[in-house]
This record gives sequence, C-alpha cells and structure tokens, in this order.
Amino acid sequence: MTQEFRITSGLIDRSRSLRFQWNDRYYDGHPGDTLASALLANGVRLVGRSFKYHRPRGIFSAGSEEPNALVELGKGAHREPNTRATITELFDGLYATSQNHRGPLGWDLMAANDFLAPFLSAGFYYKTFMWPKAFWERLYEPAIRASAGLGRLSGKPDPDCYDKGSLHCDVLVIGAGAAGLSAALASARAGARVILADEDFRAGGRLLSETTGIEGMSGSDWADAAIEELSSMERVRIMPRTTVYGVFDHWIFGAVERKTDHLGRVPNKPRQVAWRVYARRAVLAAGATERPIAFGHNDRPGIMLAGAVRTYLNRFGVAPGKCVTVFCNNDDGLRTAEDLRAKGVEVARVIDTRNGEHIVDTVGRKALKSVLLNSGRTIPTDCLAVSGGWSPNIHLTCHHRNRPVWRDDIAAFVAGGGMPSGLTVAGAAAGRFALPDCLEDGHRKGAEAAAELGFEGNSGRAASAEDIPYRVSAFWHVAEGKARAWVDLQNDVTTKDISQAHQEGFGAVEHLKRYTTLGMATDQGKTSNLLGLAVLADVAGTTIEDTGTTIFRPPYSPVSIGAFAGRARGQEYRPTRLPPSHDWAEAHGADFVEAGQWLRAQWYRRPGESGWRDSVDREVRTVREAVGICDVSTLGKIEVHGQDAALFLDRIYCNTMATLPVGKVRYGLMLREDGFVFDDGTAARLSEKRFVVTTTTANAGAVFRHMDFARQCLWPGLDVHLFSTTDAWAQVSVAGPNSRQLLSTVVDDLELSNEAFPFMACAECTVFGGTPARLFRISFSGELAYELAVPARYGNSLMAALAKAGAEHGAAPYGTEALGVLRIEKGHAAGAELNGQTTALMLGLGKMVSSKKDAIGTVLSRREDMVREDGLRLVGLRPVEKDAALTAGAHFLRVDGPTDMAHDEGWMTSVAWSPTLGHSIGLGFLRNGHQRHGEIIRAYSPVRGQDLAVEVGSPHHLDPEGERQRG
Amino acid sequence: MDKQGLIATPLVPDLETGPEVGRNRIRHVHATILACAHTDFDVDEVRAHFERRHGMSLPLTACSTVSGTVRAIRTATDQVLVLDLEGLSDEAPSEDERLYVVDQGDAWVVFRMEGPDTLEALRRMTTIELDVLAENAAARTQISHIGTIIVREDRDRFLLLTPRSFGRDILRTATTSLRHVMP
Repeated sequence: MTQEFRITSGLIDRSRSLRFQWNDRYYDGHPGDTLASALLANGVRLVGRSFKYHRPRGIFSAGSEEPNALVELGKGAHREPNTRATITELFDGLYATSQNHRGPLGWDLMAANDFLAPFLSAGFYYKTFMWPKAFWERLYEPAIRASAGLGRLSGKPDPDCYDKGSLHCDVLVIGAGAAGLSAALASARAGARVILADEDFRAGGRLLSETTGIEGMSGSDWADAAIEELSSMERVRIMPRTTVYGVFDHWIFGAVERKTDHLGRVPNKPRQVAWRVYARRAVLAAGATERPIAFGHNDRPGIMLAGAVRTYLNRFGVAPGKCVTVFCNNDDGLRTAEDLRAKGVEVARVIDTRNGEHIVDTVGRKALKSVLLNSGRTIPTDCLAVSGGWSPNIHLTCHHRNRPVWRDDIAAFVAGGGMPSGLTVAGAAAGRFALPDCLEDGHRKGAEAAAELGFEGNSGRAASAEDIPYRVSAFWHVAEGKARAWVDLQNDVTTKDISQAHQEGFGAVEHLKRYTTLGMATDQGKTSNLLGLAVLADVAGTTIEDTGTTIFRPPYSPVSIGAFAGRARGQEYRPTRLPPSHDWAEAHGADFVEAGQWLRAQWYRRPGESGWRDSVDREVRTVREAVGICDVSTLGKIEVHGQDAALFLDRIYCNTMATLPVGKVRYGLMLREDGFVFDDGTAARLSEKRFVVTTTTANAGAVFRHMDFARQCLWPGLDVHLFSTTDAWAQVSVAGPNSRQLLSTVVDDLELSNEAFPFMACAECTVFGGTPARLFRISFSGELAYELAVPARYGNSLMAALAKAGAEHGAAPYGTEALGVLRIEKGHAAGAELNGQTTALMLGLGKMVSSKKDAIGTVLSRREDMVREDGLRLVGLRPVEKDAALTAGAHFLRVDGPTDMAHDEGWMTSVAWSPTLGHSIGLGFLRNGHQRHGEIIRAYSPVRGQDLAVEVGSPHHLDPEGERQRG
Repeated sequence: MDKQGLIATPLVPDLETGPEVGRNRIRHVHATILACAHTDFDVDEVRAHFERRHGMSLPLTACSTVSGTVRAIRTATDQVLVLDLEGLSDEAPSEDERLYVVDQGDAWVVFRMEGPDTLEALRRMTTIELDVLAENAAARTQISHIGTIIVREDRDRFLLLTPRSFGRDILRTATTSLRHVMP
C-alpha cells in the first residue's frame, strides 16, 4: 500500500522500507517511524475502540500520553496488549492488531453500548443491575466481565527474556529534550558521571517536532551534536528507550530500558531491563504534555493534539490530514498552522478561543468530516489540531508525596516544595515553555547539580535559541450544546460525568477520580487530569487551585511485570545450594527435595520399588539393621576459636559447655533472649581454644548472625572468633549397627572401639589413606552412629567410597525422609518441635538450662508460665488401632471431653510410619503430657475429618535407654 | 579396602577450560584460602606476622592488598581472608598462638570473570558501584541473593568469591549476564 500521507520532510530514513502488519494487512514504513506515524502515513485513521462506549478512536498524540491508540503487539504467547502505537518503534515484521472490539474494527458489535450511553454514565454500576437480585451472578456480572478491559492477555507464560541491573551516577538527567541535553552537557563537562535517560528512541524531545533553531542549527541537528559530544565522554551513559518510572527512597530511581522491543524477537537477549539507578542528584527535564479542550464529540478519529500534528509533520514526514483545522487557546495553534502551510498542507481555519470562537460539535463516525462553530458555521475538515495549553510533566516530583502548586500564568500545576531529595526540575517540566529558557534552565540546573557534588570543571555556556513566546488563555471546555464532550478519552469520561459526580456528592478530587475513573489506566490521565479538574472547578463554582489535584504514584507509565521480575523465574527464581555429594546422589537415583535453600536427596529409588514408601522403609531398615550413609553437610557448621571460646559458648548455650573436654562432643540447646528455644546442635571441642558447633540446616545463617552479634556487641572484650565452615566440610552420617565395622576400614590410624572412641567422642584424623577428616560419634537416629567430615571437594568421592567400602556391611544411602522417620522413632525434636514457641521444659530438656551460670535466655526461660508443671510436654503417640495413620496438626482432646477449642490439650507435631515398629507413630505437645503416659486421648483433625484414639507414651518410641547409640 | 585417598571433584566438570561467552571467559580459580582472625588486628605484631607470612601489608577494613599471586581481603575489623591464587595445597594451616587461622579453601569457590563485557555483565548482577571499585579493591555484595565478594583485578577482570554450595548458581548467573550484554 502506498504511503499517501507521506510528505517530503522529517527525520526518517527514506532509503529503507520496513514492512509491517496491521490487522493482518501489510503496510510499509521507514526506520525512524513509530507504528502510529506509519499508520497515519498509510492513511489509517481508525485504530481502536473506546473503553466503555466502543466509539471509533484514532491517534490522538505522539507520545506516551496516548489515550486512544492502544494496540496488541505480537502473536501467541508473545502478544502484549495495551501498547501505545505512538511510542512503538517500527521494525521490519512488526505485527499489530487493534483491540477492544467484537467483529472487525470497523463494525464493532459492542458499539451498541454507545446507544445505551444514558444508562452507562459515571458510577452506573453502583446504581444499576440491582434487580432482579438473582441476575447479578448469572447474567450481569458475567456480561460485564466479558465486556470489561481493553486488550487480551495471551494466557500463556511470557516466553520473553527480561533482566534487571543497577547503575550509579552523580547526576541522572531524565529527558533528552532541550533542557535535558543542556543539563547533561553542563554536568558532564563539569566532570560528573552522568546518565541521560529518555523514553524516546531518538534524543531531542520537542526539538524533533519543532522548526525552531538553536545555535544556527535545526533543533534536531543541535540535539544530534549534543549527543555526539556526550557520547565522546567516558563518564556519560546515554540511555534511549528508557523510561524513568519512579523515585524511591535513598536516591534510587526506577527505570525500564526497552532493549530489543524495536528489533523483534532476539533470542537470549532481554527485551527489557529494569534498572535501579542510584543517583546523587537528578534533573527532571521530562518536558510537558499538551492537553485538549472538551467540546461536543471531540473524540472522533482525526482529532488530535496540535503538538502531535507538528510532530507527525516535522519529525515523521506525515500529513495527519489533507485539510486541517486548528482549535486552540494559545500561540501553539498558530505555530501549527504555520508549519502545516509550510509543508503544503491545507489549513481550513484557525479557531482561537481568544478571538471568541470555538467548536461546539463535530461530524464523522469513523473519521472526522467537519466541525461546527459557535457561530453556526460548518467547516469541512479531515483533521482537527487541538491545543488547550501545556502541563509540565511533574509526575516524578510527587513520588514522595509532595503536592504540585498552581500557576495562573501558564494555567498549569508545577512542582511544589518538598520534592525528593536531590531532585530538581528544569525546562518545560518546570513551567518554562520558551526554548531559550529551557536551554538556560537546563544548563543551570545541570551545572548546579555537578557543583554541589564538588565537580569544578567548566560547564561551558547554555546554547542560545530564537525566542518564540508562549501565551495561553485558560479555556477548558465548551459549555454550550448537548453533545457529549470527552474529558478522558481512555476511560470514556465526559464533562457530564464530572457534573453528575459533583451533583451526587463526589466533588472532592480523590472521590471524583474513583467515581468516574478519570485519570486511571495506562495513560494515567496525562491529557485529561487537568481538564477534569477544570470542569469540576467550573461546576463547583470555584478555582482549579482551590479544587486541588490528585498526585502521582509510580510508575510514570506502564512497566511490564516481566521487567520487574527480571530473570528471577524458573531456575533463577531463587538460589539453590547443592550439597557436596549432589552429583553422586543424582547418579544413584535420588529424588530431591528443597530443604531451606538446599537441594537434598529425600530418598534413593531402587528398581522394583513401587513408590517412595518402599524406598524410605527400606532405608530405615538398612539403618536399623545394617548401616546407612546420608549426606548431612547442610547442617550449619561454625568454628569458634579463641582464648575465651569455651566461656563464649557457655553464654550462648543454656547448658554448660566450658567443662567439655577436648575430644568430646556435647548436645547444646540455644535459647533466644525471651527464653524460648532458638536452635539446637552439637559443640565439639577440637582443642582448648577451638570448637566446631553445628546448627540446624534452616537456622545456620540465623545462628551465625546471633553468635556474631553476641560476640561483637554483647561481649566485645572476649577473645573469640567465628568462622562459618558450613560450605567447607562435607559431612556424612554413618549410622547403624555395622557403622563401626565400616568406618574401621576407612579411618586411618584411629581406634574406634567403644572404649577408645565412645559415644560423643570426636577426633581429627585422616581417612582413605590420607585425606584429612573429622570424626564425631553422634547419633540422630538413635543407632550406633558417626558423622564423618572431609573437605567439601572430597564430598562426592566420600559417598562413593563409603558406599563401595560398605557394600560388604550392607550399607546403603538414605535420604531426608528416612532421616525424619528415624528421628521420630527416637524422639528427637526437629523443625516441627523447634518452632520458636517451645521451651526447653516442653521438649523435656528443662534440666539442660543450667542454674550454675548465666546464658542468653536463661532468666526469661524461668518465667512463671514457662515452667508450670502442668504445661505442654513432648510426648510420643501411637494409634490404638494399629492400622490407623496419624496426621500432623491434629488436636488433642480428652476421650470424654467436648470437641471445642476451650478443651484443646495440645497438638501433633510430627508423624511417620515406622517400619521398625510396624505402625504409625507421632510426636506432639500434650498438656501435662509427661504424667499421662499410657493414657488414651483423641487426635482430632477437623481438616482431614479424622478422630482417632491414640495412646500417649514416651517420645522415645525406640530404645529409650539409649543402649544402641552407646553400644 | 584399597586406601588410595579420596578424589577431589571439580565444582563444575568443564569449568577448568571454560566457558567462553563471546569475547569473555569465566574460569574456576583454584585458590588456597585462609581466614585469619585476631582480636586486635592492628597491632604491630600482627602486621609483622602478616608481612612475614604473606609478604604484603595488612589491608584496611573492606579493602584488599596484593603481592604476587597472594591477595588479602579484610572482611571484618578483626578478620582477613588470604587467597593464594596459585596455591594447590590442601594442607591445613597450623594454629598460631595469637593468630587464629582456618582453612577456607573448600568454603569458597573463586571464579575469574574477564573480557570486554564483564563490567556491563556485573551491572546486571550486583548493586555495588563498580565504577568506583578500584583495581585490587574488594567489596561484599549479593548476587542473586547469594553473599559474594567481588575483587577487581583489572578494568575488565574480576574475581567472584562465593560459598561453594552456590557455585553453580553463580556460574549460571554470570554466564547468563554475559550472554545478555555481549554484542
């Protein structure tokens, strides 16, 4: 299709053509085009349907403020709805479709809504669809939901790639228009590290759209020269296609950079990067947004902002119409007419409200045909350029909750005091609309920002430009006539809606916004907010200043959720820690489970096993009857060195550690300040002033932090040093009656008899002919057991070597599930029992809290309610009916008692099927449980509909005297 | 039982020779790493010990010094990490009367990232201000939530020290970052 509206000018590359699809038809454009400019060049006027009334809509602006031209880009899972055609850079192969219509765009069935407009005014959903009541869920709500929204999500996982990153600079300049370029040049020349970010793909801002000259050059040439100078400076980073969307605490700015959106699909490259920019100073030079005037049927395709008309004309070489009418309340309207005439486009008439003329209505369903003046005259036209003045883009100044202030001279809000620290506003964003002012203001703000940071280089001088005055006379809406006049094109909010909202009591700006949806959705009211306030002020009989304004929150313009997520999805959602023997476990049939950040083997599947229970039962039996090996490297390991190491541990653990002899291990219980149990583990004394303590897997980091806090802040005078060695050592549990026999073949020169190396002994040794190791005789399973540690690099090899050496002793690996069964059989507390709300006494470890010394938590652990004799105690439980399976979380009730919370006596913490005992077993906390062994109670689980009779007993289901582990 | 000692397993099988990402490389560096602590680290005695033992001056807190292939990173007021990038020994250091030394060679994994895109790739990985990280300076940071020490060896050459168990994640993150930024 020919580009019949393309004219001979603009900043596009005519030497190349780009082919794209719009609603499945092929069109051509050029590099430098946006989708909107290319559509206009091809004569496409109708690009979408309005939100509520499904009225035909055309391109209204030329930037991110666009309320109408929202399109869907891409196909299939790549489809992205609600994308603004006005900022979509054209590329070869671009695929775009219109949205929010049923049937073809030109014949939208939902356009019937327009005839129902009297019933769909502001807040209609609060007042209608009330009768009959049953229709709401069956008819009204489904129908409204089916009609709601604009574009369609693909419903598939986003296949695109995103990323995140951090940047630092001295001065962040937001906007690369005249003021922004001027500020960036001044800061950079002074020596500051500068980031210049602009949402457009070409720097220059309004300079690209106007014909005003700077320093004897065209505005676009001057912008190119400025970029060239900035590019030559090593300390400057120029970021086109980058929107700074928010200002956050600590001088952090959020920015999203569109990396490959303009290139189509680029494999393995992020389409967008969300940047966290740390800027010591920032200059907001985001320019201003033109606003419309509300008049009858001001929403037809072909009606657009005057500034946009100049942009399409001067930058993109596109005539937005063949016969253009201009309607304005300021000098920009005249400038638009001049530019149109200069490009050979017919100007039907300039209607300036300052001359008492205005438009009262328009004609043309899918494209503008004519406008009707207040004089009664009709003017045939296919494009209407409207300018109601300019509003500074001060959104970012409000992100720390400061309020804009009104300026009568420009009829607009500007940034108020109390802006985000280090942020200044320059150029049009500061209400300076004359080009020389913008250049001077930008230069001054940029130079000042650099100077405040101590950069003393020569900032040079501000560029000079021709002064073209900007005078505006406030004129917001045409009151006469009965036709609907749109204020917010995106949300279909009319002047009547605002009047009605006020009439119904929603006269405060915040209420108005929520009642009418004025200023919501993708454009966030960039073209409509002030107009809405003006109409509200008018109907309320007050001023805009007194009416006030809503303020802005991040983001300035829409940001993809994918950009916020970056690459943190799938495998990279969070880090995974791999134990040293991971590869061996994977090669030997392990099924893995996430435990904290670790990926641990939960069981090792063998051929012929029908499910996980078969594997776990076999592994438990292996430990009870032969020997099992399990990687327990994930337990936290902290080395405690120093002259005062023993004293330090005495204060950290509630039980005594100072008396622990060298070569011995002791179970240790750590309390929080409030006396509740924090963590448990072991402390092994390797020498007089060297211990290695273990923590639970989940608490490794927290315990290290706790200990280091105590070391640095509570007792800085102690000679104690902490080293985290969790990752340094691979530690393997070797448990079972054959464990000694197995280890005897492995350990070099260390006697392992019960006498020479008894329960709770430890030693540094070597294994397998010289590999350095540490051996601890400790047991979590209740069996004769050891834990053998070697430097982590040997962990994989250690599992392989133990499995090989243990073959003749019936050895097999076991995973975390068997580990859990074994510890429940033995009655050892773990995460479910150490839940932060349990005390030593509850766990049956009350006597461990030493009364002969002080330790963290000791005093508060003795509070009255924490030591009551009839309090909760850890007990063991088994079902009365042997075949029944216990469930964790069940509540304990008396057999003859009522079933309510008032008579709740405790809860089941852990359960397992015990292959050793042949029935289900559990642990739990029961009121006065230590004195109720043998009693039958109810384990009641309303969630699972279970009510079981269970017998209370010792938590040690197996070997309560501990003979096996001492054997 | 045939006692031949255990075999050290590389963290990632092919890391000894790769990977190459464009004009950039990531290498696993075998390093002897010692963590040294002393209550009063700045006493002359410790300084002299350090000079004698490692041939370099004691770094200031959060700083790094280098001598030949040995690098020291002051990780806390009273603690310093000593890396010998040529060291291949497993030998645990002996305990000194006043200086507490722990072998951390297995606790950390050391990667060297180098190439023209490395700096830009690191901007996608860490929040630290890389422009002011001078050569031989070190900084603690988080990469993909993983506590990591970054050492700048040269303009486009960095060492990443990360807990061993996170090694493969960090490697993947670094590789992905380089792929994302390389031309």
